[in-house]
Amino acid sequence: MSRKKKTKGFVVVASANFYYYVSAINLIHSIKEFCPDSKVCLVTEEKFLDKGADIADDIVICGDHKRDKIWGMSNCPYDKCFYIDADCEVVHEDIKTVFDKFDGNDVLFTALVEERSYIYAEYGWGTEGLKFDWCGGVCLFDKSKPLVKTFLDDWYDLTVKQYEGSWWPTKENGERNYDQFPKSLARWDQFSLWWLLNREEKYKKLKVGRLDKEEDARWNHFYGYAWDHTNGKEPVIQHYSASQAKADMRNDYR
Amino acid sequence: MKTYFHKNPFWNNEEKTEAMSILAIEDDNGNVENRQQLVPQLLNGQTNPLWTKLMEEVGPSIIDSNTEQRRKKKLKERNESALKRRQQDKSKRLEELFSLKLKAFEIKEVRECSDKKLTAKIRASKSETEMNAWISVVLLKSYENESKEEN
Repeated sequence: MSRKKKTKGFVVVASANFYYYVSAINLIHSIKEFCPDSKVCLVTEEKFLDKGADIADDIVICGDHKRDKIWGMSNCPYDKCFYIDADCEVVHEDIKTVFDKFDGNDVLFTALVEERSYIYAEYGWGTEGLKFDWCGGVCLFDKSKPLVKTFLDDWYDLTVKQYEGSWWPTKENGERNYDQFPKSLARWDQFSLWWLLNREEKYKKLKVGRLDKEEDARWNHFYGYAWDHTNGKEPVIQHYSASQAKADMRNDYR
Repeated sequence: MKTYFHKNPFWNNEEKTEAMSILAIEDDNGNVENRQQLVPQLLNGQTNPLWTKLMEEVGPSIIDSNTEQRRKKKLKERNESALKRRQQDKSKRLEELFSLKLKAFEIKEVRECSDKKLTAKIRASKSETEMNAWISVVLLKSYENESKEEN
């Protein structure tokens, strides 16, 4: 019996603000410059669509939630996917090698580590040394594995509940546990991610890894890094998550 | 009252005739005041008694070693500071270019341009002037296409 070859592609999501759509088109152009034959799926709202989206090979329509990126990851049409935040751009040809980086894992992120923590908006919390482990800016995953698909769906559902305030970890007496998990964590989808990976039994079997190991900073290189975190190697993906350009444009489109 | 030198003095000149030290002054109740003390070998042409004390308590080989460690530390700090400055400049340049690219892609004609070679030229531009020139080419092509369709 012949086994069907897994499909591969990039996924970019632009929801909630037109800024992300413009940014996503720029990102897709940058992917295509290095990987002209790769498939790219744009997940976006119907109201944003124009001919600019023709650069994408596939288009999936999503809702207007600011975290529909997770829905997009779960609903893109490829088996092996590499998700990239819309406010990024590809700057190095090593992007061609990304699908060779699974290294036996199901899902891979770049790590949130102490040496780079000066740039994180939120990292550790409480008195027990709990901290975010993974950054959701880029994510390599094999959605053809049922556990990965379930995980992405659960991550999205939990994030939506977290954002609307209908879910929060509770204490034994049923009260919301803001002592151990402060309210400031509520605005991060990394928290729902952390919860699923650290407190949900069914995801203990999910193999989660660090993309390109110690060189992961190349794959999600925040433009504001004050130090060289890539051992002198060129970044592959530049991330402009807190740039002034973003702030200006978001205000323009508000 | 007693006085003693901490073990961290270093040479203050290449000739090794002057050292910078921390002198501890301990009163009869055990209270210690630490004072930064420059110790030249000679005072008014005579051997400085503090120099003699420093050489007895710490000695030149420890001062040599401290001086070398300090030199390496300062060099590292200077390199890090230069690296940080270079990285900040690079970040600023990158952000400015990214902002320009997004502004270009805000223009409908640029976003909808099907000539990937042209959009790549816009994205690869290294200055606003260069980018504006390529944007003009896109707009001109778009205008020509519109005119053709109208005719």
